[in-house]
Amino acid sequence: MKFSINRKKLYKALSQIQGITNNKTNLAITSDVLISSKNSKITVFANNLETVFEGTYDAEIESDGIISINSKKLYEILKEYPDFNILLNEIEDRWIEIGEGNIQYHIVTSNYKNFPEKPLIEDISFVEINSEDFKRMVEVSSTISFLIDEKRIYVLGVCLEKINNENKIRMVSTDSKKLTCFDLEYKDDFIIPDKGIIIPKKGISELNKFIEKDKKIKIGIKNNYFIVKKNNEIIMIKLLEGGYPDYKKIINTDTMIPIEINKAMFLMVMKRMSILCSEQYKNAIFNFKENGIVVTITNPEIGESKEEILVDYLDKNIKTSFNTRYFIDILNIINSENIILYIKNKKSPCVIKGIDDNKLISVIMPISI
Amino acid sequence: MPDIRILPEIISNKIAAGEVVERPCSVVKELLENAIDAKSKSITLEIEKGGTNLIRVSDNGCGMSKDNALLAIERYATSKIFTDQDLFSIKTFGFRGEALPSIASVSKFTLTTSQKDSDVGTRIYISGGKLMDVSDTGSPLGTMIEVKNLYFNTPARKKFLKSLNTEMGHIADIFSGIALGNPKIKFKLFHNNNLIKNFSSIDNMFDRVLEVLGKDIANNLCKVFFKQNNIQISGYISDPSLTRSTSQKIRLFVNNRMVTDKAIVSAIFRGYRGRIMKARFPLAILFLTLDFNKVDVNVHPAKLQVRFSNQQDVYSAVTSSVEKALINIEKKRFQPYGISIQKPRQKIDESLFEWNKEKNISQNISVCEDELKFDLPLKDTFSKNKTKFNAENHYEFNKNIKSSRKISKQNNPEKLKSLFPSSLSDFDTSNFSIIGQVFATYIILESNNNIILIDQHAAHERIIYEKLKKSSFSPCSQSLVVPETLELGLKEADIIENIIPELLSLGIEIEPFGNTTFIIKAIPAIIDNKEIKPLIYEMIEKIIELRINPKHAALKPEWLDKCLILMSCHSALRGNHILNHTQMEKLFYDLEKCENPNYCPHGRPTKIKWEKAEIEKLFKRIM
Repeated sequence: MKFSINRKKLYKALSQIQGITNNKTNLAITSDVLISSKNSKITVFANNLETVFEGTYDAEIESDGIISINSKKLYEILKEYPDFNILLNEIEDRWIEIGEGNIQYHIVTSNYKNFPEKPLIEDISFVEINSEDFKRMVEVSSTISFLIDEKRIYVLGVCLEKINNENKIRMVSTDSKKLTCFDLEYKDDFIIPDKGIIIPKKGISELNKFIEKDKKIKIGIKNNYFIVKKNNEIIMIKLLEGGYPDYKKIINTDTMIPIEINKAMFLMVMKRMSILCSEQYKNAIFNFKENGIVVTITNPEIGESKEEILVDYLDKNIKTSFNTRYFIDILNIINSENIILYIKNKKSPCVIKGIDDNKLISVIMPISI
Repeated sequence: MPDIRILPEIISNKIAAGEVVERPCSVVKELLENAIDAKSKSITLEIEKGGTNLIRVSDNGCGMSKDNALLAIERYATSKIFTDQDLFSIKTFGFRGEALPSIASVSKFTLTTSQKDSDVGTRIYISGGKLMDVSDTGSPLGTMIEVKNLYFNTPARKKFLKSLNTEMGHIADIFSGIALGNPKIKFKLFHNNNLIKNFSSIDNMFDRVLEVLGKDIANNLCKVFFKQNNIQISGYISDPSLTRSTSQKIRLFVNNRMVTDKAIVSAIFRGYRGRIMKARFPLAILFLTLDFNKVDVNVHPAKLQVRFSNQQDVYSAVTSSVEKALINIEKKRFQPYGISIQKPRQKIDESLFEWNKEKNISQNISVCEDELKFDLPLKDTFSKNKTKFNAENHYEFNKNIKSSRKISKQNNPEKLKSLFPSSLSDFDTSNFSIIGQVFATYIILESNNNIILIDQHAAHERIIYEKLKKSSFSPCSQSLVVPETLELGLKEADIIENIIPELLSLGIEIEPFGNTTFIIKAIPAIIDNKEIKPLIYEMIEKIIELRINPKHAALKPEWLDKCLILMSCHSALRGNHILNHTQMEKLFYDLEKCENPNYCPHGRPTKIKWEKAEIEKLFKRIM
């Protein structure tokens, strides 16, 4: 195999898959990238058994062939390589020469036959989607992360489902302490199983790098894979199996009391409050009372703090408690100058919506004191 | 069916001997106790060949007359009790009247005794239970009993004897045990004519204790003294760093009688709780003194077991005496670090929040002002200033606030300080310095010529455990979007159903969900990023393991404590976790604030120490 390709083009492809190939699996070869050259195009594959990437690029091919080369090393070489084009040449079995002239690398490669086969998915019915909104959907959903030992499916993955009777899809992400819910409109016919699908958050964060705002994005679901297509590149994420819990009750604000508040101001209050937080004392007490919220935090190891926010609130007094960090996380993803907090009683969650942001609904669960 | 007959005495004595004279050391015990009961001042024990050849006990006690001596070898003959009333408040070691005839029935037995004011002594010789000879003889005051060829007529029993050394070991144990319990009497022990133990009557208790437990542990012993409701407990216990793998070195004396009582041993353990590891045993010598009528020794002929009429009191007294002694010694130990222990503020002073309320501010300030003017004690000013404040012109007062605050800060920093929470700055950091972390698990620090290694997980576990344990600390619980379901077995479900309220007090909100399924609706906020289910399963397992019925209110502290330990273990920082300097400092500071900073709640040590001298020795700087 021997081909020459625009360095930037290959570099960009490689940079998109570093997250996939850096993910440690039981197979060592998943940290490799598979490159095959044929018919004046090369194809780049990455596959960590959960997420698969495939991209096809124009190149000057001198001879066909397939190689499996360490993704990180190739990426680093491409990054530092000075010339416009770069030459890859298989000089003998499993040895690759990269570069020409003054700069040359000899890199050992793996046996490409060991590379995991890509899932055979054909006839995918794609639907086009607003790439900017979709990018935000993915960003919002990856705000809520999970820890290494996590086993709960609904924490490991996000739920993507159709909203009944509307041409909207919704992505729900939670770690059981907070929840985000992002809605997105689409035009064409899009088939999602009724109970929705669960996409692993790991794959979602790969999508975050993959989606570009100014490029057409198409999505589809087929054979237990969630597929996203961008021109000549495609990402396939293996879905998680299991049911997603019913979250709809918790985001229903019908019986809740709305409180309008300035986002930036509220965010500042939360930031000031969280100064006194520690591992053992992470919650602030929110006292909703006539025309105001009094937020206090008490950490016997550091001290206390109190702030009063003037709001339009005329209902009964409610004393409840939330983790201030969660508010900071959520407020940072709301695109709206003013927000509405919904509360009901001391045991109810706090539902947050942006006044100018009808796509996102967030929920923070209370801490009982 | 053959006729039923009353057994001849010689046989019944042999049967009794089976219980009383189990092995040579039981003979030694019976004879030594007799000698003590005879008010001897000096007792000599001579042993040959592990007691199989000869056991000879000679004392300088009151002795017996010829008639009494003959009676003594009859069964159920005793001088120690007279009425059945006496049986319930036994002051002597013996009382059953069984020992001598039992011993005599399985050995060649010679009793030589002489009373005060009597010209001649008496010598009685019995072989295998048969009285062979009674004669007058010259003898010093007191009694001497020789037991030769023990078990010569019961070959089966003889066969079961262990090696000479083992039997001698048991004898020496019994001997030193009895010597410990009777510090005013001189004791000598000879084996094959060599003096091997000698307790003089001027020894103090500590020396005798060391004699028994070993001299090298002198520095590891702590004194126990405790008195409550007619129960007095004294003695010595080892500090938690010194443990053994068996309970052999725990010696218990109830009214100077050496006893073995598993319940007392476990009471001692409770005292050590959180300080020693599982399957390790402390060393202890404890003397319990209580009213004779509160103790029943008539449990077994060997009298190694006792029953207390007020069991629970005794056990809890033992536990608290041990706890107290350990706390004392620990306080002494870690003072050299130069850290002042501060009581953390139990409750948050709500008044600190009432900033906008004038009254409160002005009160505090007026205190300062009063002090400036009159220098009155704080208490008086408080009551005084209230009336004063009301009377004062409000406007003028407000005008003064600023200035008085400034002055008071300058002039009276200490009083002012007490108004604010204690902070890290109070911590004396001059005595230690953190060097760093090794293996991402241990913190190294230098302090007072010592190198100290701290296990970060164990230390953090201890910190959290003590925090959780404080009644004022009620853990907040984080509600869950998606309740977790617990599928349990019948037994586990039964347990969890009974502990729902207690779990709630730990911040775990659980509700039954039909049959043996439960849902967890909220989890403790301090572990809200850890998996909760394994913790609950472990808690249930622990309760099952403890065989505690959670309905039993009295046992609640015990299992709740186990749950707290589990919770702190789950939430504590793990090993293999890199800490920065501030985190390490905080960890160490928090640890030293703990009541028991030296051990994690499971009993593992939190820190180990090397002295400078030890290191210098290793480098051969000093030899």
